[in-house]
Amino acid sequence: MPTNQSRRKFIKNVAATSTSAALILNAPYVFSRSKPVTLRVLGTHVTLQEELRQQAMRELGINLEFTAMGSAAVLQKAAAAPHSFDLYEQWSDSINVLWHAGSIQPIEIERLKYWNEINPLTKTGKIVPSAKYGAGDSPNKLLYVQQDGSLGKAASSKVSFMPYVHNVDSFGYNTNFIKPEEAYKTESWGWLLDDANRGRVALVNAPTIGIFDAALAAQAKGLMKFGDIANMTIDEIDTLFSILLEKKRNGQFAGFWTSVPQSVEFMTNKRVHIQSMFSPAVSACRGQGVPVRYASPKEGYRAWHGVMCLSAMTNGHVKDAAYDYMNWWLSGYPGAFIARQGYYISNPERSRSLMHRNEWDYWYDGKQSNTQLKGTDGRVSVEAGEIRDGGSYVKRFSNIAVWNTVMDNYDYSLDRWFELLNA
Amino acid sequence: MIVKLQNTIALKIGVLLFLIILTLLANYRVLTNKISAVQYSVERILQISNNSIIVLEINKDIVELQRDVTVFGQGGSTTIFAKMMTTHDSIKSRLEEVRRQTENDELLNTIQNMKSLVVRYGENLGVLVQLYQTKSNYIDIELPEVFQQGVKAFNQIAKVNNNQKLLFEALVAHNLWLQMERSSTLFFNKKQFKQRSVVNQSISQLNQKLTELAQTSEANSEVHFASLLALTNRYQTLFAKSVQANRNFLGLINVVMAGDAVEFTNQAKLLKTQSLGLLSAIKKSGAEAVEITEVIIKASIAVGLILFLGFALFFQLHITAAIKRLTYAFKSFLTGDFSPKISDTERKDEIGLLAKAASEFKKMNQDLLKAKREAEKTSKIKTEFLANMSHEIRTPMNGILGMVNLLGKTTLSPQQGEMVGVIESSGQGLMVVLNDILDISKIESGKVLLEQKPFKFNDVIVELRHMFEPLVAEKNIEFHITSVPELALINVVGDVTRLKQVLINLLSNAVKFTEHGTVTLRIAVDNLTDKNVSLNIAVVDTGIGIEHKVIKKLFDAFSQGDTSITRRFGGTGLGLTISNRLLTLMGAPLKVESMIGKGSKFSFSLLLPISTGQTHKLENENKKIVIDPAKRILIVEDNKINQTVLNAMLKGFGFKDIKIADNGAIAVQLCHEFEFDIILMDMQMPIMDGLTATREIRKLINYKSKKIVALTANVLVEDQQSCFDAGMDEFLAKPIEPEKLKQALI
Repeated sequence: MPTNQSRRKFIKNVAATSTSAALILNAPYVFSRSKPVTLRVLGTHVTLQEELRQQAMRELGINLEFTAMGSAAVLQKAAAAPHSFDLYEQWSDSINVLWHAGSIQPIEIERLKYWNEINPLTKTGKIVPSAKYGAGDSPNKLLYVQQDGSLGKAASSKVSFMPYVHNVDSFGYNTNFIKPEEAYKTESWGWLLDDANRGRVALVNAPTIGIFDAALAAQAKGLMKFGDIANMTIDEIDTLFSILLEKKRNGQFAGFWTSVPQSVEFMTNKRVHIQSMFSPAVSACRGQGVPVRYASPKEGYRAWHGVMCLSAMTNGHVKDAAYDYMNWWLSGYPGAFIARQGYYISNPERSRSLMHRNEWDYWYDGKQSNTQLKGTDGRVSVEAGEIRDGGSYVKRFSNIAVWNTVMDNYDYSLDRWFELLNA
Repeated sequence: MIVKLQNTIALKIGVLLFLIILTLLANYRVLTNKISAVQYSVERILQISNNSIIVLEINKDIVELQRDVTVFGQGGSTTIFAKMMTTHDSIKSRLEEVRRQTENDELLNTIQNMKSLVVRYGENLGVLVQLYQTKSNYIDIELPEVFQQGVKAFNQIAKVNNNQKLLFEALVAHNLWLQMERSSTLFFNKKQFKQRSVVNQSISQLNQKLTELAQTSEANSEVHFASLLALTNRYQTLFAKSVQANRNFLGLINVVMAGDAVEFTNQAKLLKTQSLGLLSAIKKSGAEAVEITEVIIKASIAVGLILFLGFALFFQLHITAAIKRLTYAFKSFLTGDFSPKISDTERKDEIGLLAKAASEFKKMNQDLLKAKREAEKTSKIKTEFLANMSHEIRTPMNGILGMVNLLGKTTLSPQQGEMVGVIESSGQGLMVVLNDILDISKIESGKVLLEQKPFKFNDVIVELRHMFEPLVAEKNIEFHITSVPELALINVVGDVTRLKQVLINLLSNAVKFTEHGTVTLRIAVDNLTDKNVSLNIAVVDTGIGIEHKVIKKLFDAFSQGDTSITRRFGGTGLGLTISNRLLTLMGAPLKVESMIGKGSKFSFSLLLPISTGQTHKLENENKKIVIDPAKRILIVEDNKINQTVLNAMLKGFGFKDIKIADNGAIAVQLCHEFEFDIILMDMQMPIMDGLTATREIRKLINYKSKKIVALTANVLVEDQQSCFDAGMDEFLAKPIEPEKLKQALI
């Protein structure tokens, strides 16, 4: 990772080559004539989906290799071995880790074709000016590469990641077992720690995510209060974990899932009735006939922002192919694709024309769908007449409680988390 | 097929037995199935038990592994790591063993999950070392190195500079430097997490201080302070990297690997639950199988018994009973009783065949019976016809011969006398023929009953000699009778009349057909006991002989060798036939030997019992006949001619008191009015026949012992018996011979 000095030089160089870069950007066909480049993408099941891979390969003429793992494992691997990937896809809470480990290199805004279409959520932290800031590392805080090499919200010409997929998460619950309640009013994170759900709760095994679900639950139930929930003190961590350990010993948790497919299994096997969930898992469950409802807790959502990062070790043709791939993500098709799984893209208007009106109404506008909607697996995930939990894109992102964050006391939380797993 | 089945008892039995065997086989199959199911269950249970033990061991290994990981995390010992790898391999192989021995899909799924977790864990183990080394590299090598460099730099500054203020500030910075390192150490080694912020604080303070110092110090120190700043930066970077490496390492252990281990344990628990469930299910199914087997065995025994009983019953009812029915029927048939009904004829099997045969047999017998009755009826008709004919023929013959006889006794011219002679001989000839015909008819209808009366054989020989000597004298041939002297002494029992008839016939034939030479009657004794005598009698002539092919035909009725014989020699041709039949009745069939031109021999072997009683006097013995003309005679006869004949005969004998009744009724009436000494009663008369009249007359007091003589054309034995039964004393055959009449009137 270049130092401050070399970074300056670097930027100069980039400016010089910007025209050529633009040329290259606008002529992807160049690559199809030469031997196809292999681009290795490391990420999670959330964005590394086979249909997208096939589509991208077709459209871009490059060879894509996907390696999807659980989020903790992926972060772990990326941080330790930047030579093992070209592009990294995960979420913003891994940016600091990777940046400080020197695993990723800055991305030039100039080379991002659709930068200007990207909405203010990532750039400012608010989807609309009236929205609340969520606690923790909102993406804008991590976006711009500062002069001193740190990451911050002051705009610059380089960014640590390309904004693309993002969403708000909460927990999913099986309405066959838990009575559905009102979004934003009575649905609450506290249900995760309800005795009524004992033995049927699961959390995601990722301390930067799962701990917030647990913390929001503890706070919602009134078991404790946090100063800054996104930056817990050691004492706060201790209190939280004593609550959690007691709950675990009482048999509150049926398990901790490490990957999206596993979370789907947990629900479809009826091992759990309520758990931390990601949006595509909810769709998949629904598609298999399990009526999972994604809650809109009154305390607010846990938000996350997907990041696509460039490996520090990636150069030359491969780097060019990486930029092609990054731009392809914002070119419309992927946005429409992932919308059907409940994700948002940073430039939704470009994907709107590729979506059926009913789909846009449901997924983005929080309106009723007039027909059944099918997910990307071909199964029905939305019945006619349903409204998306939480409502519209804007509304949902206006109600963020906390962003996935790597806290200062992350290390401590790691130890406590280990304790919780083995309790 | 059904048709075929109905056709054979063997097939029916075969099919039933086959069904029984099928049932048995099915039972066997089911039982062996169930038993092998039970066996299989037992095997599965053993397997699962084995597997459960292995999984327990695996769990133990996992716990140990996790512990070792923690220990490794603290020291990075390669020994520990080697142990971890070994333990991991052991887990893998044990899991594989369990997988191989598992068949249930649910369990296999769980095991597969466990396997993937183990594999991932193994991969992570590999990464673990790397991460540890990275961490260790930063924390234990690079960071301390930078620290040391910093310390050196600070020491250098202290040496070079004398400025107290500068030194003081440098010391403060140095202090910060030490504090930074101490906090770092505390953070990394003692897990005092709060120290991290202290490190960062120290770093920012250092930065500030050093920048200040760099700006305010002299040229010689500037360089030091600049390098210290660089070192601080480097430290900061390294610290960040260390923190991250530490986080990576801890993350791997605490989150990723721990998560996998915990999940593995969960899966193992699930496996245990599933195995128990499976065990329980197997136990249940095993118990069920045993139960079912029990039921099946019981049921099969019951079914087998029922089938067997059914079979026995079938056999009994369908076969044995049918056979019994047929046997009973045949038993009756054997005793001559053809009444039992034949059942089972509609059956198509062997019994059906037998029944049909029995039915045919019965029908045949019934037909035979019918035929017999028909024959009997025909015979009866024939007999009656015979009787009638006999009567119809004899009656006029009686008239003719009688009148002719009487006529002959009157004064006739020689011409008339000749004519009468001819008439008489013709009539007698005719009578001979008639008698022959009636005889053969009698014999053919089996109406001849042989007499068994004692007689002297010699008397027969004497009579024959008298009869034939004049005949042979006419023809110039010799006549011999050879006999044995013993014959003169013994009396034999038999039918002398018929025997004589045969001998007369044979001798007549011999004489008739011999022109020159001899006719011999040879009587030889074959065997003589005190009970019976076996005689060999032969009539030998030197006549024209008989052709071989003719001999056979000879005995058939109405044939006589060939028609030329008849023309040459006359005769009805019945004589031999009658002789043969009579001899056959006597048990001495006639044998013929002949050669054309040489002569013939007719012989027979006769077995006669020896009589102990008195011989019956031959009818032909001359006895003095004395009649009393004063006797009052009643003639009961419907035929006018016969009346005339009788009347004339009686008058010729000297009787004066002769009355005539036209029928039986008048006769009875006359008996009431008059008294008669002898009544000559005809048999067949209108209004009242002879038998009835006789019975009526015998009712009268004064006719109880008066002589009533039957005059009859019926010569059958039963008719004779009827006469005697009715009360008649004698009977005379028509045509009446005067001599015989005379004898009856004594």
